[in-house]
Amino acid sequence: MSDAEETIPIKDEYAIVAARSAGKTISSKCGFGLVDQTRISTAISELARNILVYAVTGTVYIREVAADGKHGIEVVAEDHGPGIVNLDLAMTDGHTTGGGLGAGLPGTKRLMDEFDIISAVGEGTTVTVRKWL
Amino acid sequence: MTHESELREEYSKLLRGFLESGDERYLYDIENISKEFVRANIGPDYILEAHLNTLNKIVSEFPVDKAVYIYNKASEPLFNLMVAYATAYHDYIAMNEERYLREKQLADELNDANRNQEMFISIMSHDIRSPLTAVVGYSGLIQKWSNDDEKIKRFAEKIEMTAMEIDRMIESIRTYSRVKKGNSKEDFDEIDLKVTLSEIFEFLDEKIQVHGTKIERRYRTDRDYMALGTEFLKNAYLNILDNAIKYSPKNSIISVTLDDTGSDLKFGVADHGDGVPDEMKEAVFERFTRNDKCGIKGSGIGLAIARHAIESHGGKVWIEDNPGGGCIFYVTVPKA
Repeated sequence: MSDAEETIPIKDEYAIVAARSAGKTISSKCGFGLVDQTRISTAISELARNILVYAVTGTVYIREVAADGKHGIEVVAEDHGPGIVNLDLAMTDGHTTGGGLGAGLPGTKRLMDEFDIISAVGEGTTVTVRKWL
Repeated sequence: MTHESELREEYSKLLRGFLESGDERYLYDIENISKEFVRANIGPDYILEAHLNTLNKIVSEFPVDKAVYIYNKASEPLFNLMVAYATAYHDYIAMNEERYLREKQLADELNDANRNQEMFISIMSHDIRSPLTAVVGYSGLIQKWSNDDEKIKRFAEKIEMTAMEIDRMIESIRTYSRVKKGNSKEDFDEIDLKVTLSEIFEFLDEKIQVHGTKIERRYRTDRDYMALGTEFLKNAYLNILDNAIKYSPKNSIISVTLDDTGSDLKFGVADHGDGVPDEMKEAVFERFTRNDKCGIKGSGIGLAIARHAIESHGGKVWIEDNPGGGCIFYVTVPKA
């Protein structure tokens, strides 16, 4: 059922643009309206930017998903960077260690329906977000 | 060029770039510039104005049918901009709020520390000066009576006692500072308030005799009144009793009660003095407030310290009118 899928290696800002673009294409294909497409692409930007800032390189996977009769989009941002030492803190509004305007994580969480984060210090971070139609 | 107009110029370029090429890259850059707008404290109305101005300029370069298409297409970058702007703004507010709370907490701690320091200086300058006067006085007497061994011995004893009193004061300041920092567990002992009171009466015995005060103990002596307390809590009770004696008429009765019927231990001291007017009932616990009465010694700091100590034990202290004239000091502390 879920056929649309994209894997985008993140190594520079152009890759972020590519990930956004792929996110928009897939979300549009899933049937999301312009408002949600914008939310999704903004969230992808944040996740990809986090990879660039904190882990330097990583990968963003975007795919159409279906579960429990729901249909939507899933974005997985994975890196093998330093990991997040204090997850609770990283999820606090306004907290930043990367010199940004506060971490994109809380903002990303607000833009999507589901948000999961797994992080191990020294091993990396995987953020999975979903938005349902 | 100001930062504002630079950003506005930059946005115009990006908008034009997107409308001409439809390239996603411009949307990404617009998202980034929206954060710059938040950071530079540029309002959405200003951004909207920049958007419309640029759009009108671009549109004027095309025939009508194409212009409508461009107008429609321009909603996407604007929408992107606004979503990113709002998200960044939300983060910004949260960040400021957290910073504000952190700063407020630091300011409160600093104020507290300052107040403490002032209080220490007050204690030093007021309370320690009077025993020092005694030390200086007796030293002078020793020089004057340098031939009288008996007198010298007595004066030296007085100096020794006074020095020990100063030492006790300094110790109490140290305790106070510890109490304010939060009592550490090892400072707390189980104390029986009935025993504490007996010790206090013994300590104040001379004063009680001189004053002709009659102490009426209205509590059971065959019972334990256990509380968790530090030396400083004992000093607070001492201070309140000392105060009651000081403010009572000579040869009057002071009633002392201990009540363990509630969840707290309630201690009461009823005197037959002039009483404390309502507007002063709180104020006497502030520093240097004294229900002015001539001829009474003290720096007016004792009750302030007592209240700090009691509150740091999770207790309360307050004053009520004594139905028979005078006032009643009440102190509650949790049972051990």
